[in-house]
Amino acid sequence: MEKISVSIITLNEEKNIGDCLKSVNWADEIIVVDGESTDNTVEICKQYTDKIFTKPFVEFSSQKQYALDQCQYPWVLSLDSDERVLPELKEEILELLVSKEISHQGYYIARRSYFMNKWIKYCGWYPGYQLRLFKRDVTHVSPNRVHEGFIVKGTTAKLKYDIDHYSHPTIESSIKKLNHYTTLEARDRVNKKKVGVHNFIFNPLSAFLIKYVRQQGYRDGMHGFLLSWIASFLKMVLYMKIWVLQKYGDSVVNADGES
Amino acid sequence: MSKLSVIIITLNEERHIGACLKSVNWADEIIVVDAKSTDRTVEIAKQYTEKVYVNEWLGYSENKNIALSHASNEWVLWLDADERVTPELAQEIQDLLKTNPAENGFEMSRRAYFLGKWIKHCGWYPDYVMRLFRREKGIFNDNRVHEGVQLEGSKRRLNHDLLHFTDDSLEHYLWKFNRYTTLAAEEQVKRKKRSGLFKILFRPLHTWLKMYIFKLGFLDGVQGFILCSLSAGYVAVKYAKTWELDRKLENDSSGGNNK
Repeated sequence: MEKISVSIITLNEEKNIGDCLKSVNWADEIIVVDGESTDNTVEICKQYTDKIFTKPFVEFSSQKQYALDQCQYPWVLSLDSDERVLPELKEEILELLVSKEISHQGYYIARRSYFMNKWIKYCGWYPGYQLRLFKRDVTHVSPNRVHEGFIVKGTTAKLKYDIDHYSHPTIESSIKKLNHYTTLEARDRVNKKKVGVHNFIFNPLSAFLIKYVRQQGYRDGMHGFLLSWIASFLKMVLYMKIWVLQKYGDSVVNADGES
Repeated sequence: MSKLSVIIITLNEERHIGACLKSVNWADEIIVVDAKSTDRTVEIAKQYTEKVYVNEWLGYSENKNIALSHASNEWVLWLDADERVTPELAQEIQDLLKTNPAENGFEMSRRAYFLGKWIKHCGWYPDYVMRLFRREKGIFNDNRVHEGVQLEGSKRRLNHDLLHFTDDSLEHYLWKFNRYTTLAAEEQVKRKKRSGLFKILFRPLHTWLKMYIFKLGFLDGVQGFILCSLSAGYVAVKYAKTWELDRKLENDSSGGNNK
């Protein structure tokens, strides 16, 4: 049987990390790379593994590459702290690893993402396949700042069972993420096209229609509505932040009265 | 001539406190009560006054009453760190105190700046606040968020303005937005107010029309549009969080655990 490492990066994840590690306690080793958490993350990790490394967090891709480099077994399952491996998926992976000849070098896994504890089946959230199980030797992390991903040299296939993903437990946490993400994204886009009031109206409107109508968010009920609303609010905030940066740069100047 | 004490409470206000104190450097006495700032607030304040006291944070009204107790002059002007006294207002106050007025309190209107612009409409101006009063006739009451002075006797309005630099970063605005909507939702639930799709859709629309159309927010340019839209978003998120919290409490009390 081929052996498997689980690779996880963390930064202040005390709420999530315990359940995450519990769902992979069957792996041959668990590698945690912690970006200098100031909460109880590392303490909790110690209950599940002794292979905890510390590396100051700069950005996702280099952090994930470093975690990958620490893995010693031929197969690697990469997981985020807010994800859990379902029992059926565990069986599926173990069966794959005992097979004589494993036919592919990488495997995509579907994610069930939850919003306020409800599995969102539409809104473009499911299945949302992620390349998460792969042969270590033929894999590296692509150096993209926000949407980092793994690149596998070889053939890939899809697994049948899912990962649970608790990315948006509350509206408050969603807005916190939205605020952080739009600040980063606005900085990336400040030198692109000039932004105006029309972007505050039409981009959010189209974001809402895509999620709620085209991706059938209405079938997720009130949760689908709120999620589509937040996606459209995100677009509005994003364009407003770009507008502020284009007008003032990094610090707003308070103009006196008439302008 | 009657003398004036200025009182200010601070907590990590290094960006504002210098300009604020400079705008009242003509006063007879300046009292700063700092709630253990970890930035350069105290250091900067000491350049303008010797009377800087450090006192742990006990609440808005409590700390203001402590500042009030240190004041020694007949008249008190209370300011927040993000406010400035205009030269015209400074002159008006100095002239006023020479006349030994009959009233015990004076209100002044505030010019609020949002993303660098004085917001003259949207229902934001004039925003009268009672800030100048006879020391022995006023005390801070303990209304939690919007504390004010409880005044004994009559009051009158001044002609000139106070400047109020509210938000010059959307990231900070949204941070407050997120925090306050959570508090507001808790308040709604406590008062047994219900929420649903109808309120989440139409209350924000009402807020937007009121501010942008009836209160002429469209005259405030792009900033006016952003302010009205985010204020409408605030109302939507408040009711969405009310719905979320209501549903969570219902689940908890019915013993349901839908995780």
